[in-house]
Amino acid sequence: MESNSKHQGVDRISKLPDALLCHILSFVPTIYAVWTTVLSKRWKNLWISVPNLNFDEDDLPETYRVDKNRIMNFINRTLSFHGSSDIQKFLLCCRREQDFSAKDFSHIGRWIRTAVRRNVVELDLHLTLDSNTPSREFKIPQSLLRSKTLVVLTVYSNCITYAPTKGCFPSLKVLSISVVWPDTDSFTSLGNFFSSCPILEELSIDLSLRFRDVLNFYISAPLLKTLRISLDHPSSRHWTKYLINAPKLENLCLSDNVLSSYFLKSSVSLVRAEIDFKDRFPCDNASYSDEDEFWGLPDKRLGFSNRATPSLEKFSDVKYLSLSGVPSLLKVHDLPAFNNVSQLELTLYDGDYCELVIELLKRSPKLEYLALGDQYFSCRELFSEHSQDRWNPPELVPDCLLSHLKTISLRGFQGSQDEMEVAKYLLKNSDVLKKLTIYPGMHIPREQWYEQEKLVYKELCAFKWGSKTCRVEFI
Amino acid sequence: MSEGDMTVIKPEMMKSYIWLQTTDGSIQQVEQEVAMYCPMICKENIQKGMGASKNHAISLPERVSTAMLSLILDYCRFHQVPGRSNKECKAFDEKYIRMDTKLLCELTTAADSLQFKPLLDLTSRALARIIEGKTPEEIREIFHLPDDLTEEEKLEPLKNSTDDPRIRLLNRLYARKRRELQEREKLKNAELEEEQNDERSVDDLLSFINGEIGDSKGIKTSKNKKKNRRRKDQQKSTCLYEANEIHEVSSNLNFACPSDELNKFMPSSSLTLKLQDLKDDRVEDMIGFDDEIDPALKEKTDREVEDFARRLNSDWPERMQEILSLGQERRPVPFSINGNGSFRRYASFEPNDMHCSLRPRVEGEC
Repeated sequence: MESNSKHQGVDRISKLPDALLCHILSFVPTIYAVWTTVLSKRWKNLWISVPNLNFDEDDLPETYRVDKNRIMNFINRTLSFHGSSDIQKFLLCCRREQDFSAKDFSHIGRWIRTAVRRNVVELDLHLTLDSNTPSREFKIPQSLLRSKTLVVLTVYSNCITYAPTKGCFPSLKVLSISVVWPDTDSFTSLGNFFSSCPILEELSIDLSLRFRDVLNFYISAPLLKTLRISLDHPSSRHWTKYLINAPKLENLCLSDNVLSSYFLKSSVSLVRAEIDFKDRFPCDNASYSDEDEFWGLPDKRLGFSNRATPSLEKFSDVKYLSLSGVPSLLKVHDLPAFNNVSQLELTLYDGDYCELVIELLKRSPKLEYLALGDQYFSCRELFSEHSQDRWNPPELVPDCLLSHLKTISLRGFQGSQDEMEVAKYLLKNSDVLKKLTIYPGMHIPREQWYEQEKLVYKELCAFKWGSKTCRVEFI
Repeated sequence: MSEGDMTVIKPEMMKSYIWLQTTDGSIQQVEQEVAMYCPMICKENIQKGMGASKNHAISLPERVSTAMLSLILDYCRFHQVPGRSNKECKAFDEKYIRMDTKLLCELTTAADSLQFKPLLDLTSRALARIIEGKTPEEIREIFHLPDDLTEEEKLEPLKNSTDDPRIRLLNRLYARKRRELQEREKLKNAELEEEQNDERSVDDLLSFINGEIGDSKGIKTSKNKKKNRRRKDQQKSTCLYEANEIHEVSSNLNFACPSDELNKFMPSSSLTLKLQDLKDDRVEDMIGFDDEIDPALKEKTDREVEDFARRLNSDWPERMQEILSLGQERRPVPFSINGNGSFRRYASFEPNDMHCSLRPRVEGEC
């Protein structure tokens, strides 16, 4: 900013209407929104009308972060000055693992009750305590549970207890709970929590459990459309059981490293399934309190593999299927038939995927859209030279290529031999293909990619394509 | 299919166009799929059939100049392509938003007038990012804001225009009375634990009296002025904090008529905690702003309390006077208003176990 422009510059921003300035300020962490009060006459009282309150410790300037009391006082005062107008979104993030104590919970409870009184619609609470803090349970205020205006609730914590009562969360539509290394006591109450929300439409559960944590979930939500479960469990000895009673469920996203048992009660009309087979066993850095655990690892792995393939049966009727993770776990010849799948996305991290792709193509007769890889990992993993797997075209061309497959995306493309084989095979054998899009890997510099594009294209054009209306596009 | 130089084949397609007209008169045609990405244009075209020809070009709102339209169409052109991954969209947006703040403001208004939410949010977030983390001086410089607040106005920036301070004060006084009554009841029940809690808070308050005022840890400032202000500010912020506190206490109890509420009390533990809190907050620095609140505002509020008390006195029976006296006495922070301790004429104390030890302090300070 040149200093001479200060006198000549036009104040455009102040010409914006109040509503627009408040909209802009709603994206600013509250402390800075409050500071705008001294900018000029125009800005003096704007912050009070901003319906969002965002108290995230990380956004505070350094002088605040070092002093817990200063932060708390700031929040107290802001809440009182903000008046009594309705709050649209309230975000509170306390990560003070070191010096936060249970005593401070009374403040937090009060702030939440204030937000509830001001008809908060969206509440975002992040509360993590040091695991050595005694009596570290934070009870969710009753008034929050009964709030009639709350529509979205997001909680990330390791110390919150959930004590659902009848008639709680009457308006809640979106619930997202993340629990990180929870205290066992607070944890067990969570199992029944998910049956308490009568009109819930979207539920996200994210758990990072400790070695011996066991939890069985009962999810009962008559209007639930979307369910996301992400589970990270270091021990596969006890795995979590989910009993899901959600007759209207359409979208299911699972990311599970132990592949818990999912029981989907009552016929479910799933439309979309995203499964991430995270095969993360703590081989690298965990310490084992249990020798059996350690030596039993290969069996556990086998166990996982045994469960992974049949688990796909539940999703055999979906229209949209996304699989990511480690394909070596799947027994490719035992895969179910996916008779309804019209969109298939595969993001696989292991080099040996060719067979899986072929088997899936064979079993998806109505496939219209296929995407392989993502921007970080190409269809072939970076270290594919070591892989034994090679593209082995099937004798019979899969049905979908002949009749339905219209769009293909190859992401993270590097131009390797195998990728070219895949692309060529698809182009040659797809009779109704309209578009093949090739996205380069993120790590390839643009200039290099332009050069490579030309070569790739030349090679792809060297034979006759199965579809006359096909187009190849490079992004 | 040709080889060689062409890297991309685009089959020949009959493209359809939409005609748009900006307020500065220029009319241009835009590819249909690009223009339709903007909801307002889409609506005009579909519902009203506009934009199909040059004569029936869609008139865009006033704030959309030709330059702005060009920027908006750039945005549409990228985002309307289906199948873009999130990362791609984000990368494009980051690059797109890098423009002069002047243009950014114009673009924000343009997006607002078109009710084009994705672009409006993008530009608003960009402006928010500029505001975030900067001192007021820096912000004024970037946006060329006039520095038109008087010093005094800067120092009392927080007049809460939405809340009636008189109502707050009334709530506060009522709640205090309720609290007092509740405490008395508890003492009657003779629960040892609570007494200990009470004592603890009283002890703390005593030690507070004895010299913890103006604790300014964490704040480094070279200006003495600021220090003095901060001290007075503590008093002010204390009052306000109390007001808030008590406002909440009363609201929690569904404040309608005080006498009814005497039967409903908050659980004891949280109440004593609140006492503790009050003490804590007085000791600590409550400043959240670069420019602090002036004693002027504190004076103002105190004057309001006076007026209010006077009015109550004339209208209400003696019981209210009692409430007022308790109210005044409960404020254990040193006064320096007008130097005459104007509140002392209301300080007729009610003997109370809770407040006995406070009495000498209040009198002693003034």
